[in-house]
Amino acid sequence: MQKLLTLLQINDSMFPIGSFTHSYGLESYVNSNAVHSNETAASYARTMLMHNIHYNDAAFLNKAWHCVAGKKFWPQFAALDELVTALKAPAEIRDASQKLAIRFLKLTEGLKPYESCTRYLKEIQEGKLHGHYAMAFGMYAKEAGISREDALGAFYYNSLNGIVTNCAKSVPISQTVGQKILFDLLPIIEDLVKKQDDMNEDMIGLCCIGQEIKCMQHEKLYTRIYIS
Amino acid sequence: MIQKDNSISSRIVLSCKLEDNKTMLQDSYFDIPYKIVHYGSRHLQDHLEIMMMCYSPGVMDGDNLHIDVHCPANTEMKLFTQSFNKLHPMEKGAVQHTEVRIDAGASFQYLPQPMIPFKNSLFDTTNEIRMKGNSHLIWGDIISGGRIHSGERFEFTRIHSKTKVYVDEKLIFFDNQLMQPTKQPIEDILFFEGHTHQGTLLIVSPYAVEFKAELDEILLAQFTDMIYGFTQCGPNAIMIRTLGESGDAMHEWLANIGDMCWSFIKYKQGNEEPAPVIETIAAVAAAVKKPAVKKTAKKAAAKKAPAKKSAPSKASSSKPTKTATKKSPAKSAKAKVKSPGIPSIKSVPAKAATSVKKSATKKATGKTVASKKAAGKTAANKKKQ
Repeated sequence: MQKLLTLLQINDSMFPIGSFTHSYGLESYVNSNAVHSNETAASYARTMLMHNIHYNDAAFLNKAWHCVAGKKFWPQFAALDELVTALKAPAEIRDASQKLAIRFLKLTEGLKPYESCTRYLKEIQEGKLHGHYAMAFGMYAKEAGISREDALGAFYYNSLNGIVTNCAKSVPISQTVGQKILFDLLPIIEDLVKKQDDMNEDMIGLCCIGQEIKCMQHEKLYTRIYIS
Repeated sequence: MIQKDNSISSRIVLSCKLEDNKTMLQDSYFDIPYKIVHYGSRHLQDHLEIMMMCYSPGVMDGDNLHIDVHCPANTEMKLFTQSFNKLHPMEKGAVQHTEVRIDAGASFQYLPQPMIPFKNSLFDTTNEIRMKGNSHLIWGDIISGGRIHSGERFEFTRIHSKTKVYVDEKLIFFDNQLMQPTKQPIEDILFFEGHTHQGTLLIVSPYAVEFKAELDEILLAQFTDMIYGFTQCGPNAIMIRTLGESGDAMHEWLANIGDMCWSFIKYKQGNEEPAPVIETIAAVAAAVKKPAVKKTAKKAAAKKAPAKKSAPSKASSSKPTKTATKKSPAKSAKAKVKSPGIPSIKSVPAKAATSVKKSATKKATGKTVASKKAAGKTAANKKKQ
């Protein structure tokens, strides 16, 4: 029960790490009118889940979760941090990942400190590692004894929840439609979690070119409500 | 080498050396169906320009190509390809692996012609670039959705392209692109979004961030037929990504920015090549006298030259700057004489034109670069029409 409650707490969209300030390119999509209706919002959410988050943040979380074990995992974990930094090309996306990681690690340290999480935070602050939210989440979940499937499922859910909330705010779509999109995609989350471990090493970090361009364009948007 | 199943295993090894401040070709090994030649005269410039040619129809099933490029310390090399890289229908798939080493202080530029994957083509390509903190890289690739005008639109089986850049053995950039039309909504949102070509230009250099500041001033508006974004993708790295409908236009635009960046780097290194505006006029004069001497990219550059000149001449005529005074009077007069027949500056969006003027007059160091920038903008704008 305690593990479930911990997961619910750290994965809550209201967990104060500032995740609601990022749209990850959605704002540019809304601005260019590519996402403008219930249908386009649903298709955006589905594609993000299946083709972006699955191969990127969820894959990084999964790798971090597997990596954190025993005492000698650090070099491997540091190499993963370097890889993720190299993969996240748009500056705002890289910064978002770092900022969320720092806040997440600071906040969870105050709740229940774990040696590895404290070290990750320290190395990010010293500039030795870049820091990525998905990795920090995976690390904390592993240390807190949360199962891989639960951590992944919750992470997918919260990412999707973020997309839907942002769509409701910016497209805008109604809250009811937003919840319908969320509900309809729940089976896909289950499926993606099942497939996560089978992912070929070569597939980690696949980029969606259109989305990446939108994330880059966001740096130049005239009116910006979100940080990314 | 031709294998038993008729596929070809080829290797290309290319390296250069420095002789009296000129970069010369050192090793050039190539197999069928490839060939490496000097691109134009080797005495025209201090850097080395090499053209990679392929005399087969393209990449066939089972083909395997290994490219190995080495730029020793302080050398400067630009590598070109002659034709579009055509990927033919395949069952097993073809593989290409490129390894580039750029030693301290060396510069390397490579923007191959676009890749066209035919129906059922299957291609895996990996690029590994190892450089030093003070070496420079300008690298690009363009991938089309197939032979679009023949009605072959995203019918290839798979293209997987991975590019890794290491600076001082630390991985700083990794582009992992998989295109698999049967498994991805490839034409929809997040992927090609209705466009048919994608292009990437990567610049890694100690001057990359300064160059981005220049781009921030010139790349102000989006095109009507092409979208792009650019960002600082690492500590000393910037990247431009674009989606559009024409491989040629995209190659020309990215090559232009690449050349601009090359000049910027050389300028910053303190051994700038002849002032860009003058160089352009010389190129036009040469092209007028001897039409079609050079091929592909150079031809394109000559074609574009008129557009290139309009903005700088406007900038210098409206507000005389030090660049203008530095030029020999005869040459600047030439520029003015040439300008009437040129697409008018009106074609530049108001915002861009002001920024061009502003940056042209801003500071002594930025001037030549500014005029080149203006050139890029006008050229791009011309395309837009």
